[in-house]
Amino acid sequence: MLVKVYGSAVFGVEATTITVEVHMDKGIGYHLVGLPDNAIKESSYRIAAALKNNGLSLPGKKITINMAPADLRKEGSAYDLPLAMGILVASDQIKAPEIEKYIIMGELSLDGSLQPIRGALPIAIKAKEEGYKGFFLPIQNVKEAAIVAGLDVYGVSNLREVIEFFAGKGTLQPTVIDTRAEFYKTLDFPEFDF
Amino acid sequence: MEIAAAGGHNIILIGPPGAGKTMLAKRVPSILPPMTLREALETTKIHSVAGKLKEVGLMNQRPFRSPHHTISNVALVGGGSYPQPGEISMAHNGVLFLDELPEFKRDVLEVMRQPLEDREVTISRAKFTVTYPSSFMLVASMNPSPSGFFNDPSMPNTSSPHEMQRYLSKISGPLLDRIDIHIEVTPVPFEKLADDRKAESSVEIRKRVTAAREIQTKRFEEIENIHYNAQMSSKLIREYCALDDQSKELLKTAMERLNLSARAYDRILKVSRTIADLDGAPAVISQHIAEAIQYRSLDRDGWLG
Repeated sequence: MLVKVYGSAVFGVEATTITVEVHMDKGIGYHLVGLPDNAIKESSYRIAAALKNNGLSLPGKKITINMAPADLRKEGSAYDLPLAMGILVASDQIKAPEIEKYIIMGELSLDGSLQPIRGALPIAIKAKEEGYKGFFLPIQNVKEAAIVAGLDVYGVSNLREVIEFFAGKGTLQPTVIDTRAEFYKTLDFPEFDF
Repeated sequence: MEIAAAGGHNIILIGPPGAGKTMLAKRVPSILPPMTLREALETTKIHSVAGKLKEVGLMNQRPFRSPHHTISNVALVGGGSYPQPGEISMAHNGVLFLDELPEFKRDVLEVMRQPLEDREVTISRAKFTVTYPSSFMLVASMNPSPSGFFNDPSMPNTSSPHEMQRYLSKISGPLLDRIDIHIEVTPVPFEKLADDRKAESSVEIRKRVTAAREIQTKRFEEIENIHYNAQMSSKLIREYCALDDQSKELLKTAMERLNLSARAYDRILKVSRTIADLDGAPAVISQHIAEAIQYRSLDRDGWLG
């Protein structure tokens, strides 16, 4: 089965949407293409452990993952989460309707919890621009991304929460920040004063 | 410092150790006009890309970056194998403080020339080209000589003239070209240190700075890419800093007497335009020129010659 999950890469201060395509077939193998760097190549180990520790598994089939556009170098470990979600949906271990309407980014720990990523704000801005419905990211970065209005920003602390959200259960709520109010609050209290 | 903040002028503080240069520099972000929502968004984006946001939402204080002088030019300007913004981009819409300016490596200072002019830095590598914005105010500090003292009657200067010449020549040329104001910071005598009276608070100073900035915004409304006085080109200087006869005389005398260069001429005009703005005066008059002339210490004889 073929599934498309969306992530994002930051170049300079702008982000570009990356499509993570996961294809399951008969046979054995794990093939990750699309110019991933070493951190992304190592992600299969993290994903396998994280899935196992959450009662799921990395299926023993032939998995082909393409990160499009295929000639752009992908860097960083933040693609663990979209890769994991793609694998789970493609192997029918979970159901995730409308997953293509969301941008998902995050680095996985071996127990399934999430580590912070970089560039959350440019990614959120691009997601809003391209009309995505929401953005899943590690909870440590949620405040940066929630600045963007008109996008459902979900700060998640582990893989379970994302799975439950798509299963229709779960209590995940989008984080909303009144940017202007927060901004003007501490404007007049500088740390160092003349 | 108020003039520097009002006109966006780069400033260098010269003084012996312990005079309070770093203290002054740290307080500059508090008198710069508050960030607009757009500026805050730009700055937050850059800090987000560098992964330095730490649980805060939109940044509302201007960034203050003070890199150590052993910094490499890649770390200052940005780049590396995985492109990251450098210190100058992290200081975007804020202040970059270079403490002990002559201690920085020469090529590191050279590398800052383009960003100071264009307000953005383009990093080109074999595999990619990335542009980061970098519009910041430069505050530099230095000791007047390698030993730390110069012209101070109470402390002997133990460096030879040759050493001093070499020390000061490190910062001459293109970088000094872009620094509009030179201030000598003298040590504070005990009575003033122990004085309980408070000086003006930052909020007060900031009000005046913001008012002066507004005048400049209106003045440069039609012109692209110029937002404050420090960015004026020679043509704009001629247009907006027209002098009356008295001021011209004063400037002429000063330039001859103090042996100021042509470089200094333009700078003095720019700074006096900012002083006039702070005063709310529509035209530059001789007292503004007089004040501006004081701020060119390094151009005088006895310094860089």
